[in-house]
Amino acid sequence: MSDAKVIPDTNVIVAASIIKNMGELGIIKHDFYDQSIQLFSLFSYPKCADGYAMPQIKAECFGVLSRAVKDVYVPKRLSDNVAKEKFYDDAVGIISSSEHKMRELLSRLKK
Amino acid sequence: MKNQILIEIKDSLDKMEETGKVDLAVLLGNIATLRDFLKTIKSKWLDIKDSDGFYFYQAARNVELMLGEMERRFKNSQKANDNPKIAEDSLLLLPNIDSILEMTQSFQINKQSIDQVLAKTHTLRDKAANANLIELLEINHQTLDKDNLRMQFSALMQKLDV
Repeated sequence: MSDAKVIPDTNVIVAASIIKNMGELGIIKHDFYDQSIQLFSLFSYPKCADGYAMPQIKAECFGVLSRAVKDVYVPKRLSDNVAKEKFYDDAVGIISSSEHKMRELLSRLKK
Repeated sequence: MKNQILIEIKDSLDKMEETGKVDLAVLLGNIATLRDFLKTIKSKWLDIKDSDGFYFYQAARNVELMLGEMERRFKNSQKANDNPKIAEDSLLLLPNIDSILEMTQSFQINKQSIDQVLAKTHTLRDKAANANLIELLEINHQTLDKDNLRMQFSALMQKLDV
């Protein structure tokens, strides 16, 4: 048992949150998902380190995730409100499902 | 109108919490009215040209999803023996819902208001998760356009500064 203490960065937490089983489309995940999730395995049994969530990092994760999804997924100019609604609803869905995973990851970290 | 509906919902929930009884038809009717109101808010944000309006749409959409989950639990409350727990859980979310509705009606888009609405949405989702009122993952899956999503995800992955 190590006394190591690790504070994951916001971007690592966000990257480790983005994975989705799309059924016949396969599993899609963040490019750095594997590396990021490995860090979280250190905090599980057999435990190698204690992970800590700094309050500020915990507070900003949802905003970072929301901004990243919006910047990439939502077109800057769309005059057709029907299409816009579709993009918006999809983006909210991506953020929400990633946030479900993020919540579970954050629960593994000590305060 | 929004304030009146919220007051009526709160009264119904208080009554349900105290007596274990409630006129479910009235309560569900009020929730439906609030959901209709949310549609008008979302529609106004869709009319806004600035794509940063998305964050406010997202907040309204989250409230809509929580209300949907609330409605689902109320409809099953007798069968699932979820009364008055569902009333207690719903009451916890009402102040946050009120605050988000207030903010999404202001139509001020700047860094400060975006930070605020994201923080409020995050708080609402945290509370909803603790109160078992967060939308089910299956609902997220149903709403996603999978073909479009697959293409967009690779771009999303590169966007994150890891």
